Order: sequence, then structure tokens, then C-alpha cells
Amino acid sequence: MNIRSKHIGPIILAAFIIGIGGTIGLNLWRTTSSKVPAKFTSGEHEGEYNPADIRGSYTFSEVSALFEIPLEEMGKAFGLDGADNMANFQCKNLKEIYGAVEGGEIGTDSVKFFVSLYTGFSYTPEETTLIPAPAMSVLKEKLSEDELKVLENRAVTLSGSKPVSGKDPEDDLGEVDATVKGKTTFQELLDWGLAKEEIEKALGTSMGKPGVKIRDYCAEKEIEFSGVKDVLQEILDANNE
Amino acid sequence: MAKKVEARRIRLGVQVLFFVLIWIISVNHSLAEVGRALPILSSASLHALCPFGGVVSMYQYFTSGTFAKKIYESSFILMWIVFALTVLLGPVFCGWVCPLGSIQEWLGKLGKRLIKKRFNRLIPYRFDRVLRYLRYVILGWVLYATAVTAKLVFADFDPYFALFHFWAGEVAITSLIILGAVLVTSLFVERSFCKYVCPYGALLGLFNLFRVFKVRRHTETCIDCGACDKNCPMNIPVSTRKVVRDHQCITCMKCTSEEFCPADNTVELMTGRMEVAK
Repeated sequence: MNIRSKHIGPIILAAFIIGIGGTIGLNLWRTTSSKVPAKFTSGEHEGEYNPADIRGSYTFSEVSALFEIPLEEMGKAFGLDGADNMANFQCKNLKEIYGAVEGGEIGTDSVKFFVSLYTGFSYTPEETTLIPAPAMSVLKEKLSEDELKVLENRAVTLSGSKPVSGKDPEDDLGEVDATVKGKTTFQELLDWGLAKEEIEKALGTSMGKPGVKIRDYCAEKEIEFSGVKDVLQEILDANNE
Repeated sequence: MAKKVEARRIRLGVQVLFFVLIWIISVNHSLAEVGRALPILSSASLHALCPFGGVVSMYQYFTSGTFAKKIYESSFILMWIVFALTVLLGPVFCGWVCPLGSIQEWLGKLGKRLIKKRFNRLIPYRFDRVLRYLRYVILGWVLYATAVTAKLVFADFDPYFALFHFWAGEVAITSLIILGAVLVTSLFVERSFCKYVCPYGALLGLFNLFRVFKVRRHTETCIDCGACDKNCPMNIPVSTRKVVRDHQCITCMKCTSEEFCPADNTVELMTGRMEVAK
């Protein structure tokens, strides 16, 4: 029995159409994550969701629901509290808002790591995985002094610089020089005590994502940065007096 | 002659169809990320539509029930569809479907015009013979590294991903460089990536040993003109074989009497023993 091109073409098309169509019909065809992580199959956490299987496409609200971590705590840990879209914020986008961080990165693996520390489930992060300093204050009640000390090596302030080792992360954030510069982010303004409304008043428009640099945001919105900077600095100085 | 042209057009039609389909889906996926996807079309990621993703996820799937990152059920389903086709017809995925193979082939036509007879004959046999097995080394590395890390390690080197996502920031620079190298070398060596590098082609190539329909040459009607050897994109010496079991065959049909073989019913894709046409 021989076979020719006029048979092969239709056979290929039929195989794909029947194969894909059939599995769609059987509800087996999925091109996106089912948003249900794998569970631990053994050990003390058997049957619990495994943070190692958190995907970049998971939103904060999904992670919050799956691992029973209050959404506010997640937002606070990753510097997103106050952001409009915090619930729908996808883990993979952390990389975008934090950009390059000296010594590693804040991304989906940071969420896995944070979840594992919060829940007590075992997970070994990658060597380059960092977590934002505010996450340490969220985890303060969950971890021992020694564990927190070890964690300090992986903590970065939200502007991307490493905190001084051995200090309380909250103290560290409080010691930051509150001067608005080109690389200052909205999150830093929030950390320095400015209200979202005050920032938006200075901008004359809505605030950008917390991790975005104010200068970049002004350039994008065609707003004069120096004017915004002066107004913000005045408010900060007034608050600190 | 008209039948030979028709046969070529059928394969070209299938290649163009898959190339355009994947391109449209890739663009729609990018549009979906900014909330502007066209609703009728699929906006699946390229990884979700790659059958090789299913292959590299196999270890993880059977040991922990999950897929490697960015791989979903769709990759697994496509993997089985391609396996079924390959058992029956050999690596038709490479010769008829794979858009990266197609673009290399189309660039090869340009290369043939540029360097004429030297096209696809530039690499000395002693090097070529050894290099053909490099893709198995790559396959072994990809399977091992993916199993260990549960990540798509090949994605950072994958010219296929770069070809359909070069406009997106998520493509690794290494992928873009490899894509550039693949496209340039395709002007001199036909399907250079398929021959020496492609890990998926390496795996599918093994099916040539036991596929149902094989390329068979009837020695009684063969006129030993060498047209089959000359036109094989993978440089398989078809004229020296009765049955082609070469791991590099991609079932492109160029060697058959349907296309370049001038003798009727002499080189054909057949099951079982060759039957002499009366």
C-alpha cells in the first residue's frame, strides 16, 4: 500500500483537527494554567498546596485564596498596598516593577519563598531570589529571631538597595533619607508617609504602580518632573517637621 | 509533470497554513497581554502550542503529576498527535508542519539561487557525519536539565520561540542570536538547524526505524540517475537504499516519484514490501 502527498496533507490536518477538537470536546484541552498548584504528595504537609508550583500567571488574590494569606498582608509584603489593581496583580509582573535589583531579583520565586515562610511549608528558593524588606515585617511574627536574621541577607528595600544587616527592617526603612530624586519610586513616597491622595494631587493625575520611578512616570505622562518633585519635597519636609 | 507540481504545492500549502496560523496566534497572544486580543482567535502562548513542551515535561508529569513551567495540557495532547503521525508517516511534523523548518527551507531556495551547486554540499562529509549526532546530545541535555529544574531550559536558546516572539521583550538574546545564525546558515546548508541541532527532530527521527509507511526504492525500475540523492534536503543517499530508515528523513517526499524521481512508481512511501507496478 502506498501513500501520496494528496493523502498526507489531509491526514495531517485531520489528525490536528480531530485531536484538538476531540480534546476540547472532552474538556482536556488547556492552554493556560488551571490555577491550582500541585499538592505535597508526602511528608508533614501532604495534601497541602505546594508553593513551589505557584506560577507567574497567578494573581495575588489567587495566591491569597489558595494559601490563606490575607491579601492585604501580601500587598504590604510586596509594596503593593494601596495599588488599585493589587488583587489582579500577577506574580510575574513583580520583575517588571522592581526591575534589576543588585544581587538578585524579586519575582515569582520571591512570592513562592514568601508563601513558604508565611505558611511554614517547605520550599528552597533560588540563590538569586530576594524579597522586599517590608515582607520581613509581615513575617516577623511567623519566624524566629534567627530565621529573620538569615532572611536579612535576601531582603532589599523597595528602591532596590540592600538594608544594613543586623538592623530591624522597619527601622531600616525609617532611616532612609526622604529626598525625592530621579530614581525615587511611588512606593518610597508611600513608605515615607505620603498619602496616595497627596501624591496624586502633586501629579495632577492618578498615581502609577508603586514600583515605578516618579521621573519615568512623569515622562510617560508628559508632566514636568521638577515641578512635581518640588511639591512632593515640600509635603515631605512639612510632614517631617 | 502537472502531478509533480501539484504534489509540491500540497506540501507548500500545509507549511504555509501552519506558519501563518502560528504567526497569527503569536501576535494575538501579544495583543492579549495588553488586553487587545482578537476574540475569535486563540491567544495561547507559543509554549502551550509546542509539542516538544510535552516531551520535556514527561518526566515531571509522571513523577509529580505537574508540567514544566509554561507547559499545559495542550502541549501534551499535541505531543501525542505528532507521535501518532510519526509512527504512521515518519517525521512529517518536521517536513510539513514545523514553521522553523519551513522558513529554513524557503530561505534555502534563495540560497540555491545564490550559490547554486555548492548549496547544501559545503560541509565535508567527515564533519557532517559526526555533527548529525549533535542533536541527540542536545536532546539528552534538554531532557535532563528540564527534569532537574522543572523549567523550559531550551526556551533561552530556542530559535522557534524567537522567530515568533522577536518583538516581545521576553525573548532571550541567545535565542535571537541562534535564530539569526539559523536563518543565515540556511542560505548555505538546507535545514541547518534540523540537521545538526533540533532536539525534537532528533527524537522524531528515531521513529524512522519503525514507522509504518517508509520511503522505498524499487531497484528494478530505478535508472540510477541520482535525482533522489541530489534533491534530498537532508543529504540522505536514497539511491543506495532499498528502504530509507535514516534518522534524518523528514518525509518531505522530494525523493519520490511524485516529485523529483523521474521514473514512475520507483521511489514511494509504502508499507511492507515494494510492489512492482505493472
